[in-house]
Amino acid sequence: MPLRGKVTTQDSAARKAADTFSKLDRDFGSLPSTTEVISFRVPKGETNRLKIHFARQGLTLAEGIKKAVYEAVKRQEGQDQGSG
Amino acid sequence: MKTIAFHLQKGGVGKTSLSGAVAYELSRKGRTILIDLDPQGNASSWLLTQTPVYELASVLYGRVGVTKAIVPTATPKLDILATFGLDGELKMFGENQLASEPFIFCDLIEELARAGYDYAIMDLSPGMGRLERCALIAADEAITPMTPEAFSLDGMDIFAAELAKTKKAMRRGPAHRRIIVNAFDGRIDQHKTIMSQAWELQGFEVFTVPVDPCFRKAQADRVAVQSLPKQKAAKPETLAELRRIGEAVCR
Ligand SMILES: Nc1ncnc2c1ncn2[C@@H]1O[C@H](COP(=O)(O)OP(=O)(O)OP(=O)(O)O)[C@@H](O)[C@H]1O
Ligand SMILES: [Mg+2]
Repeated sequence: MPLRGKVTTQDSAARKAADTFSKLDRDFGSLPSTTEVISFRVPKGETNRLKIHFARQGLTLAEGIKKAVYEAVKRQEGQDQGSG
Repeated sequence: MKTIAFHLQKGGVGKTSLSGAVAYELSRKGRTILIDLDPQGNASSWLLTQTPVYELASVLYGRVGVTKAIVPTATPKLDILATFGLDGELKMFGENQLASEPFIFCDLIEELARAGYDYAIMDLSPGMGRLERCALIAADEAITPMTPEAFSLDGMDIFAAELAKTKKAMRRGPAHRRIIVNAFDGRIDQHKTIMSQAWELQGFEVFTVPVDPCFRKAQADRVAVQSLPKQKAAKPETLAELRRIGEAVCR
């Protein structure tokens, strides 16, 4: 009999991460359960340049942009906190 | 003086590698002391080429003043309070003496500040016993290195729960707002899944140090990661991220 509700390792890693991080997050409000998409335009050719850049770190374009944006925002937030 | 503890109960996640590397970054900004709080003595055997006369436990047992036990490393402005991995007494101190002196590390930190240090970095051992708790309450900040895998996430759960308990019991404790995802390998899907969630973590600054043989090489050669010779040099991303961590910690 097939196991019902069996998850792949990938799913369980994601779930475990969500669980751990939402616990850490508790003091700061929990992780959002729904998401939204951000998109923006760049000059022709730029996409490829960015893709190659992030591929060097093993990241897809979307992953690389997400990482860069969050890092920048958090650095700024950290500076605001530090000076405030 | 600012005191930062590197800790996660899980073993081998990079506490020693990152505390050594971040200590190096901080030594560019001010006088820095690396306190080897792991009875394994890994940080000491990495950054010292000779066994010093005294170790941290000698100070804790009151046999010698703290300034006498401090040893310089090859890096300017970076000193160490060592622990002997072999025949060291830190473990014994933790088991026999610490219960009656739970604030001894707070006193130690105060003395180091008086001695003119700007930064103190504590490299803790895997585990969450009295030694780790007493060290943590002496720190301003705890940084948790983790590898992007399930057991590290378990370690993070335990850390957060234990930190909350310790803060309640001891009425003090470090801030926890920085996480380093270490040995990140973008070719592994699970790493990316975990990373992508970590980036969103509210209230935390998350750093990513790539998988990089430079740590192993630096430890074998007993030099700082940042001072490896060209042919063994760390990846540029590794160096950039270490610098970013150093700058964040100084803010
Ligand atoms: N980013 C990295 N890429 C590749 N190897 C790494 C990385 N960081 C650390 N290592 C290696 O992983 C091993 C464990 O690292 P380290 O000793 O720093 O972990 P630790 O958390 O201090 O371990 P312990 O829990 O025993 O104290 C070492 O051999 C080190 O060289
Ligand atoms: Mg270690």
